[in-house]
Amino acid sequence: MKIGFFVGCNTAFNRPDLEQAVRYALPALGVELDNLDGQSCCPSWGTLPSVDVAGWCAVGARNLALAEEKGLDIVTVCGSCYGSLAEAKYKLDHDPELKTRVNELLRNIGREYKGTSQVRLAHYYLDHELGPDRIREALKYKLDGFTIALQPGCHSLWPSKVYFDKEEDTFHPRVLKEMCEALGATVGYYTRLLDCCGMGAMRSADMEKSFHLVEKKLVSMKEEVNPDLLVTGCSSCLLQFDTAQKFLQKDKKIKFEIPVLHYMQLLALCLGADPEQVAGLAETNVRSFIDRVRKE
Amino acid sequence: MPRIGVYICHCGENIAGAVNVEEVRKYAEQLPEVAIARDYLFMCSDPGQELIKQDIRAGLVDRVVVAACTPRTHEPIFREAVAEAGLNKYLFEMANIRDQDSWAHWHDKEGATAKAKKLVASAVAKAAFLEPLEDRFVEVTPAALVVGGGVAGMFAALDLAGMGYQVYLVEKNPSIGGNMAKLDKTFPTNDCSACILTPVMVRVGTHPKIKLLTYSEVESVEGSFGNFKVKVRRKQTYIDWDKCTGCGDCVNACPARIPNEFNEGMDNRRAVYIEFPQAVPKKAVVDLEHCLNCGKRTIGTAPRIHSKTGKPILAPCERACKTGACDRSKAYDPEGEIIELAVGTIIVTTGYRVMDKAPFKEYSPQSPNVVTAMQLERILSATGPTAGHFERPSDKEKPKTIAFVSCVGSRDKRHHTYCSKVCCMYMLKEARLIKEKYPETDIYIFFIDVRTAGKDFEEYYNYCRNLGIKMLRGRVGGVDELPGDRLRVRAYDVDLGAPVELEADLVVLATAIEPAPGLAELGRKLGITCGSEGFLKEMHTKLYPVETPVRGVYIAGCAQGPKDIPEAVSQARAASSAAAVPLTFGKIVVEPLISEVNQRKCSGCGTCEKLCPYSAIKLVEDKGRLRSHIDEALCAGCGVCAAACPSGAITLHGFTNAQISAQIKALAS
Repeated sequence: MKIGFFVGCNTAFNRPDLEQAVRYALPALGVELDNLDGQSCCPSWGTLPSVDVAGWCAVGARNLALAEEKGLDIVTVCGSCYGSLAEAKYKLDHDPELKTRVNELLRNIGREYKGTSQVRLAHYYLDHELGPDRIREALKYKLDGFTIALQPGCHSLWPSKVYFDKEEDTFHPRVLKEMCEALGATVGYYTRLLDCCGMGAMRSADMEKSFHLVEKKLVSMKEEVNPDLLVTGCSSCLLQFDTAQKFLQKDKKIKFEIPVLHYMQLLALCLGADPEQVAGLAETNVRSFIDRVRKE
Repeated sequence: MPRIGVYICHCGENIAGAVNVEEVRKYAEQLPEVAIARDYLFMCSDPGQELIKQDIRAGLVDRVVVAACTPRTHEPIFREAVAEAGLNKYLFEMANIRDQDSWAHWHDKEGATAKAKKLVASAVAKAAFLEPLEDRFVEVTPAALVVGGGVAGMFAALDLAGMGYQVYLVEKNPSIGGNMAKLDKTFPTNDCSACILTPVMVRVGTHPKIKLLTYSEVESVEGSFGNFKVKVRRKQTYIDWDKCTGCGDCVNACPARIPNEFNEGMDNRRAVYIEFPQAVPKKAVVDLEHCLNCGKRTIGTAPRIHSKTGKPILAPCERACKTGACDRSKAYDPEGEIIELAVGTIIVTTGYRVMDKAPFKEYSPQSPNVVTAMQLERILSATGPTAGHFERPSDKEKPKTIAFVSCVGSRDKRHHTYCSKVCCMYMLKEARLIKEKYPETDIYIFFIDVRTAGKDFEEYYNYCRNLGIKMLRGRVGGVDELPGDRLRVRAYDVDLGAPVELEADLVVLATAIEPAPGLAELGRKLGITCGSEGFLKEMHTKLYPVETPVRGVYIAGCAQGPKDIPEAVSQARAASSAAAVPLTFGKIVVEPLISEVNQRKCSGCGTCEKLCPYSAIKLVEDKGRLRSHIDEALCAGCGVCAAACPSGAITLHGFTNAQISAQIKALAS
């Protein structure tokens, strides 16, 4: 099994420990990574997708073409990259005029978009290609007795029509939950599971509103689940939950802290990765969680 | 040589404002075979018609062309005038220089005038080839069929039966009553639905002129206006209705439990069941699909004999039945019985169904405390699953806070673009019933627009607001399940300009009204079509709202589109009156503007048969060869067959090849 690893800027520049986690976990499970040399910005929401559809799809198509040339599917850990690339692909595959226009642009750099590679989000890829049992077998540490709250991330769910890997019911997402359960953890449901975390344009434009959203989510999961760990399926959600909590504590909005990891970090840890390598940049106190896991 | 009279109408300013009428008149005057060309302010007025009549009576003209508005509305008037003056009414032709000229080219006077000349020339060219034609008459079977036994169907049936005509009322459920039988109270007067409907159902059930065919569906429709031959399939009830007294003993004995359709799936019925307490006819039916075949008593088999007692082993339902109506030895017959009816006219009143909550995943449909408004209606009803006690489904607690969500599936491009029209009022009604009984209940209605147009409706709305029912403008984005069976409604309050959240014990979804299942198929059997939203299409929204393009077939109630009870009943009574006209007249006029096959030219290829949209053409064997035969009563004169016939064997009277060619030549010259 081989995939093209689309790192994404949030992961590469803000959380290279997450990148390390992917580079540890996937090969450990027998998935070979290709670096997709020359990969660029996806491009992210708030940039080209907001102002120039053909430009957006051209940049996306160039990234997709890199994988197509190698006959690989693209796998990412970032909801924004996943959404932007998948939506661009959907547009290109359903709008022949747009595809022609984009391929005219790509011709200038000697590339062509064909539509042969799929865009996958890491934990969906693992669920569909390996399945929870294969993961269970490979674990070095298990999370028996730990309770997890989830943050699936909106771009992993909607617009559902653009995604290759689908949830049966996007309002009751299953995949991230089952992948966490495969690690031995108990996953608790809280009523604001599907709420926006406040990341993205809102975090850039209105910090107060953005923090209000993340606060509501944190309070909901604390009251209803009281988890040992929050697990996200998206690197943007990871950044938001990991960085916002200390601001909220300072403003006396919350009096607790929930350690936060991306699913691929948690998986890497359970497979035996060095915590400093795969979770060393966390601002929340994931260290004590990891120590507890290793002690059990 | 024909002497054609041309009469040009000013239509006040409608035509004269764009067309130089005098110029057109002068032009018409010099056209070949035109004897006279006149103009007048309003040709359709009495003096205008008189101009034409005088010229005919004076022997000046023997063909008439009126250049005015549209033949759709005015052709009958001028034809009559021509006939009154003693001329065959089909020696008349109309040029539409208003709708298709002056109105369309209002800012191009010269162009409009030039086009009027062409249109007049074309009509004159055709007029020269007009032939006198004679109307024909067909006898009408003095009986009617009503399809659908809801409130609209019942009133249509009662009206026609009251006029003395035999009426067949076909209903697919075991009982008549339709959706209205499920309602608790009805706006705007809050009458108890059952109280006002039950007497009507009984009248329908006992009327000597109404033959009730419940648990039946229309299988096929043949024949034509005045003489339809309808096959109705009566489903097998597996209970002898002649013997059944509706006592319900068999029902109580049945151990099977199936979600009860009448209570919107909120409780269970038995496999042998009577649809609801006030059912008409009050008879039991066996739902074989869910029957447990107790004691291995499968339908259509002789009972086993008890080895010791020597008595037959019967199923509980059989044992309970005192009249012998429930007898499982009765033959297994899923095909049912075909009943053939002969009727003159047909009224379709198949009603609607309400959308289920399942497609609205964002509103937590898996929660038992998220209900549709129809489910709430059953919860409020004394014959419902809670016997009228106001309880939420999850734990039988009385809800303290209720949220209504409007436009669920209506006005939503993902589902239905139309407004379901009744939801605003039924939400207010349900809210009011609850608030009046339990004033401490907190009720919120989330709406996009409150649409309460209708007599006494706006007053009803204001009354509800004064009761303290809270109205919030804004779309509901989601409903979350909370611990303790509560629900969180998230909406955007447009007036506040901010997201709002509300915790409620019960959420009521005002789901859309949809066409009844199978409506399109029934439409196909009748030759009438559904609009893009799936409701039956009327002939003309304003002027012929209960007629359809198939003569003799009428529609009423929610089969035509969402509407409330007052409107459905009005429309039903309009349809019954329209359907009674041909029955009363006893014969129907068949316009001669229909196709005719020249049997000597016909090769029997069948092209026309396949193309005919009215199923008017059949291939008939004649002296060992197939020949196309057109049913005069069915032919609508569309001309598709005449245009397609490879042998040129079909003539469409009133639009013959000679006439059309002459028109085209005049237009092209």
